Amino acid sequence: MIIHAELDKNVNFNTMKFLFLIPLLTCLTSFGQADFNNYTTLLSAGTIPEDFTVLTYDKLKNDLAEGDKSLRRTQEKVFFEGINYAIDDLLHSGYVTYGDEISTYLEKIADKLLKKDKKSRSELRFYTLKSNSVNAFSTEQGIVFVTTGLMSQVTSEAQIAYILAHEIAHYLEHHVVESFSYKTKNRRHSIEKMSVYSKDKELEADMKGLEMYQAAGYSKDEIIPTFDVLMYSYLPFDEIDISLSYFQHSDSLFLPPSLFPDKKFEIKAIEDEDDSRSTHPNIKTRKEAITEALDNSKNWGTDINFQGDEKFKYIRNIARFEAVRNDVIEAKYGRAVYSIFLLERDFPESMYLKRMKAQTWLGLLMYRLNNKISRTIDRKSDYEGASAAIHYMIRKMNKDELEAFATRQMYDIYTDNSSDEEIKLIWERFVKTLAFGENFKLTEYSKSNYESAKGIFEINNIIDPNDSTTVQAKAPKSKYDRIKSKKDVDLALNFDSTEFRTYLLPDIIVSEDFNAIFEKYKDEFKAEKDLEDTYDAMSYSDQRKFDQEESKNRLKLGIDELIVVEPTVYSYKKNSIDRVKSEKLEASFSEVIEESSASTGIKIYPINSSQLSTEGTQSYNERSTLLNMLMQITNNNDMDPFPVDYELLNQLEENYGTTKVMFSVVEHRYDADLGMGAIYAIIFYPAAPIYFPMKLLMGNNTEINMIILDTKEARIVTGSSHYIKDSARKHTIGAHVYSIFTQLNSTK
Amino acid sequence: MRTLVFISIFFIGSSVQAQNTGLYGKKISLDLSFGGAMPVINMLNGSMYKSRSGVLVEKLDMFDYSIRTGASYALANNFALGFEFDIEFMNIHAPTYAYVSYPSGGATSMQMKHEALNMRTMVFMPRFEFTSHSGLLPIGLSHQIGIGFSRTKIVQKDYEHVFYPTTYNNELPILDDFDERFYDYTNDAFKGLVFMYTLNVRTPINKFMMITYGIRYNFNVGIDAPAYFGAPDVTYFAESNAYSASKERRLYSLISFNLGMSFAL
Repeated sequence: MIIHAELDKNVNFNTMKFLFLIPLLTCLTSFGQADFNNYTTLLSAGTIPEDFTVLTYDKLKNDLAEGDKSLRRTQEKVFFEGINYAIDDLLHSGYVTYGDEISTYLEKIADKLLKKDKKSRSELRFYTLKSNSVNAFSTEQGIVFVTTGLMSQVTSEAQIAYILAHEIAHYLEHHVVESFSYKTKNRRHSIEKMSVYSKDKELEADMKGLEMYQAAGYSKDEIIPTFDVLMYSYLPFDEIDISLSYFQHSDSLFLPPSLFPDKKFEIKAIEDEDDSRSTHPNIKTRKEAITEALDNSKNWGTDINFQGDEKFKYIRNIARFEAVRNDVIEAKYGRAVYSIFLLERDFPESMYLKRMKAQTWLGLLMYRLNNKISRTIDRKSDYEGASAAIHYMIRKMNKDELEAFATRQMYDIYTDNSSDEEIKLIWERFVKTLAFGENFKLTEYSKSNYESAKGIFEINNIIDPNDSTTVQAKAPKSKYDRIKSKKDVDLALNFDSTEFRTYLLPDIIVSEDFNAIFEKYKDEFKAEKDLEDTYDAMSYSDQRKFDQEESKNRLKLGIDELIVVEPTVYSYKKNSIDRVKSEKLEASFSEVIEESSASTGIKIYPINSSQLSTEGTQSYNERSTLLNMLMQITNNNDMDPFPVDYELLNQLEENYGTTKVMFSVVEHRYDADLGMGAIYAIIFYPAAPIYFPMKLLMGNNTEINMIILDTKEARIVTGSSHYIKDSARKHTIGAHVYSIFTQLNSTK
Repeated sequence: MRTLVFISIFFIGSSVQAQNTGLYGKKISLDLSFGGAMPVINMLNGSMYKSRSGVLVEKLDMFDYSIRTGASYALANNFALGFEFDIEFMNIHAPTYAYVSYPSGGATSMQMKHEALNMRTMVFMPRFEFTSHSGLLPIGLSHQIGIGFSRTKIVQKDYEHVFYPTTYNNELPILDDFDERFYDYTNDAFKGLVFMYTLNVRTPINKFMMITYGIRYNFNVGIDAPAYFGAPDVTYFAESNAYSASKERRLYSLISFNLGMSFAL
């Protein structure tokens, strides 16, 4: 379980109280290049496992019926409820795949590891988690999750085998439940004391895993490197220097060398870090323990890539392509640029990488214009290794420079691949962002590139006294000529060597294609701006009327078909979610959505985890694609990102005939919030008959949130948030859903 | 999906919401509920006599009750107009002694135990109700405000009563022309105004029925006292007249709870 503590933010933190995680670490490959040129994201395949189809409530019932002898009855309920709901949250997050190439690869490794333990093998399931966290963890239910981040970092199948063996050991030794029991019994123990217990379990899993690994015939030499993978897992999946020339697609494109750091950034990871408060021993301790065990063991096998070298590299490349995708979804654009650079060395023709690169520059432009660029790149204090140069460069450029630089990069991708529909759309969105950004002014850019402008400048201004031809060719300028020339950036007399960005776009600003799109969006922007100005000029009451009118029309989209994804309910009990009640309410929520759609004439296509047993893997993949799109939009909050799975979303439109997708969530909690008022009401007792009944009656808080996304536009087209002081009952929710659907179906 | 909760709130939490009104489009609601209250202030005046199988028993007056009917029409998702018709039942303390006249002339006072008087008030009240911006009337929590007219009468029935002789030998005096009706029930009712605020919740249990409950705050004032509202000539209310007793009783009826059903049309 946990070997390092970098937790994926999408993994419920509470879950991690019950789980142990493992982070670990890499080569380049040329295998499967043809596939990777037209890569599409990893999808689940085959028959959908029961882990995904059985209702959590039923799983919980089964577990409670079987029980666990090491736990008291009250502990059992807490434990099983915790692990079942937490793991199911993860399974239904849209980030987990089953039956895919990575999962199948893991299953085969497990076959080898548990060749002599058929029973345990039959209990265990292996799934891939799309996350750049370098983790693997097993659960009490017998599920082992391995992240694509981990798969992208390892350098051999054997290393994966050792990690899996470690996880399987945790499962076989019931470390999850033991740990829960220990923590429950010793709540008052210090973190340090808890840490000692946890570290012991990790070392135990290391040793048990080693036995399993050895018995399977894997090579002894791959054990210690596995810990190196672990130690450097926070770095990208390779460590290759990148230079400024990577961004210079033509010789005439000038980028000042100062954009790149003149020093190397030190890699600071150490083996002997302080682990007194960690769940895992530090690398040094683990290496020492393992080395001792290795010294005392004999009869080692030699398998490194049992399934073949090419197969391993192929699988790892899948993980690396997923790493790029994950970075784009999470708006980690600095990392994405570096990962794309690494992969382009082996897959220079990959259209997928080009698309991702286009999305990355679009993302960087958006964040820069919104003054949020820091979110997309590493902090200065985190600069380490070769990839830091990218973060350094992006941070170094001011708004104007990065705007021009990103435009240059994007335009080059577009012109090289103008026949690609996706890249064309990204380009259009990019130009729209420029037009709406108010920062981009065509007049600030020269029609000459840096070198030409510099040459003309030198001819016009630097008079070589020894060169009589130059002197004669250049007539002296008057003061007024010089003033006029400064108003026109394209007069090379005005050349400024420090303003490199001015000369980055000579071909773009004269491009008819660019100007046509730019003007179109500029007009749109102007129309919006005029509307805003008109609004600002209105009186308060007119603004209010205007707002009311807007509000009335907000949902009136004339929708007659809708994909409805996983209506979700969270009913809170004290500070935690009442899972059982929530799950039951979810069924009611889905029912009222169906009823409302039927009575309002909207045809819906439900995509729910509760229907997966009948709908199968295709539905699961569609659901994951939509959830991932939602996550991308939400990660980029007020930006306008391009959908990372554009092709898959197009397929969805073909399948269902609509681009509109509804996500909805109901939250309910009862909190009378009596507070200090209760004491005052008792002291001033005539107030009590007013204070207490009112507080108690108004304690229900239900929020019904709904958003409609358009897969084509990859944005939220409308939303509705109903906050009501009532309990979350079926028909209370139903009445609001009906109201929403009635409006969605109508037009303005 | 959990993240969605927070994110979707982020996206749309500040947006102004418009809604189509009604419970599945039904905008009219008919309410039928029962109200109850503990007349705490009245209890401070001591216990009352109540008839239990013809026997007068001294008890605290623990409960007022009422039947409320009403109808509302939701003009917008957060505003509705309506009216209600209520019948409220309360008890008031009966007199503890009466004056009686002798056939031979003259009169005397006589102590008695008298069953508490039942008072019935009919209220007709136009009202409006409003709720939060994203409410959806008629369902959910709403604030109801109304000003209504009330008409209060003492319920006509044969009240149980027992006299105590006040003569020195503890014998009942010989009475002539004794009328056991201590109050003239046929006299006019008195009228009043009702100022009402209710915090009400209607929770739908299906597509047209709702459970309704809430707390109601009243302020009842009398506006039209009858010229004479009390006992007939032969015997009369010795302590105070019924009007002032009833008025006081109504005035102190400030809070009640409602529970009932509503039907959406």
